[in-house]
Amino acid sequence: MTEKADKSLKESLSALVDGETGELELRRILKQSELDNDSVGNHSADKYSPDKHSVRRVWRRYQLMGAAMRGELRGVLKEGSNVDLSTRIFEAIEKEDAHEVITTNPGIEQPSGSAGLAGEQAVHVRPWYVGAGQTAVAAMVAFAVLIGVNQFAVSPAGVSAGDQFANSEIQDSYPASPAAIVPEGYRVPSLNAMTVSSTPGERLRPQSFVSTPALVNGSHPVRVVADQEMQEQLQRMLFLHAEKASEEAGLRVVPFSRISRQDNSGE
Amino acid sequence: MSSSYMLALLIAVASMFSSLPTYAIDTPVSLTELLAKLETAERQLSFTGRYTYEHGGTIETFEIVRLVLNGIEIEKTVHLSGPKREQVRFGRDTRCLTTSNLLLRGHYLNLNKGGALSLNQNYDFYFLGHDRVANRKVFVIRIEPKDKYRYGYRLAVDEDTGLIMRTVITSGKKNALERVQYVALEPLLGDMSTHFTPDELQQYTEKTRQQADSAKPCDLFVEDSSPWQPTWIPGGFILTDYTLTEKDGHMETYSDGLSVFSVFASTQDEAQIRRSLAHRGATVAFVTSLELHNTLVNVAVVGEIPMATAQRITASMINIELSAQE
Repeated sequence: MTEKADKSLKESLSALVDGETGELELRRILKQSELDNDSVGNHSADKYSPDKHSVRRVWRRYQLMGAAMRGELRGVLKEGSNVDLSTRIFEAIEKEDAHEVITTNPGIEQPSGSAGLAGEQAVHVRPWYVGAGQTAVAAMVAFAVLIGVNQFAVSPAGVSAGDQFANSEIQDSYPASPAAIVPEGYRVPSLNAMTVSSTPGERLRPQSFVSTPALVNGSHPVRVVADQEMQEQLQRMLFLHAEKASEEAGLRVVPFSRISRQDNSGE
Repeated sequence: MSSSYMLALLIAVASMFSSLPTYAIDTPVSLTELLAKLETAERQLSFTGRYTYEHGGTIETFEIVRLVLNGIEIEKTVHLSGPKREQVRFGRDTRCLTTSNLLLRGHYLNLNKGGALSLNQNYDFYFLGHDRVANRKVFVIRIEPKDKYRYGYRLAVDEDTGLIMRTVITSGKKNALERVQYVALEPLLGDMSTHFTPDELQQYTEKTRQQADSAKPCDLFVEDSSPWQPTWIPGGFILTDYTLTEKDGHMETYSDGLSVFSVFASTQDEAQIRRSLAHRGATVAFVTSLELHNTLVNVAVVGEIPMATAQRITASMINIELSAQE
């Protein structure tokens, strides 16, 4: 197989993975795959060893990449290798937002509660390289994981049907760190998490605090709120919110069960 | 040759149709009607039932008794698992429609800034089919957000009554954040003293009488608002409530008809740093201290919204009075 033919065949294969091949292309692929079969053993010394470039191998690789990118490998991979590419790709893309140019007149941003609609109408100008950048990010993430994908192990359980609980939720089965100040039943998210120290002198440890600008600059004589107090405040606020939400929302039963684990002592 | 080819094609086409689930053909009611029915049922019906609340690998079970008489509600929720606890809520006037109620009914709300708000500006609705929950036939609908600032829902709505039998809050296509699902539901019949204590019933009667006397009109529009306000909130959310709380300062609640979040803001004489981040199921709480207009302000966003949305709202807080002066 020449290099050029090899490349065009791979393109066809890629198209086939996406279900976008014509009949002719499909035939060519099938034919090549038969040829590969015949040639095994005969040309193993060839520099394009059938091992690596055979149609079936390439086909398998492409399917694997696709599955990894769509996050379908969960449950198929070995236990503990928690690979959810789709989430990571989206996260990576999320962090790319610096490219997005939003031409909003600052005056349009409305300061009050009923704002937001005008903000939505703001014109989004997306330069051409934004898409390219995001694709590159996606490809990089996918590639990085493919390196480890040979450890693929098909579990008899297969992919569970029905709802997949979100990644962050699955991690909930780990006990929350004792330093985390959250009410009983609540968890600290794995990402962007930060903890409050009970020791007044100790520094706060924001792990990732990207979207919140300039916090406290140290000019104030401040004290860090103690765990207990913080926890009480959180419980109170969660309760108040649940109460308001259950009065307001049309989906009534949901907010009310959310107050379940809380102490009513705040109210 | 050609006729056998045609026959094969016909069979293929026929089997394609027969393999389609029947619900694809008999669309029950329009989604608009279904949402309106759901809204009315959730507000007005009296029932008793048991449900599970599932989040992050935990399941809690509850019993609920709800009675609506002359539009006034009493609702008791008993925790069947964990520490023994119950909550009783009296006196909500179910004849009053909230912003969310109106949006679910398919109304357009005029915004005082101009323009109008409706539910389908922010969500897409799909009818998925039929299912059975708590031994009742349900319609299954999927509600998908049009942007990344809010969560999606999958609802199972009782075909008979219109009550929501299952609510799944989803992030993205498949990730379920939390699920509330009935395992039993019955109309509320018979002697109420089997469901409520004499004390509860007495309080309820009193509340009902007070409310009948006062004949207070429903107030949908929020007159007051907090001096501390976000300059950014996701499109479609509107202010539905403002309260000055005793300990946590100003509290504003926003809703887009389905999702609700609250913004707390308070200043203190003693400078304190408060930072915390918690989530359970679909609820997040993001607490932080910000230095705004040379003042240390404690800001918290609590609600059923993605963390990124909560953080962005927090980051946009200003004091509208002070910024006007500057």
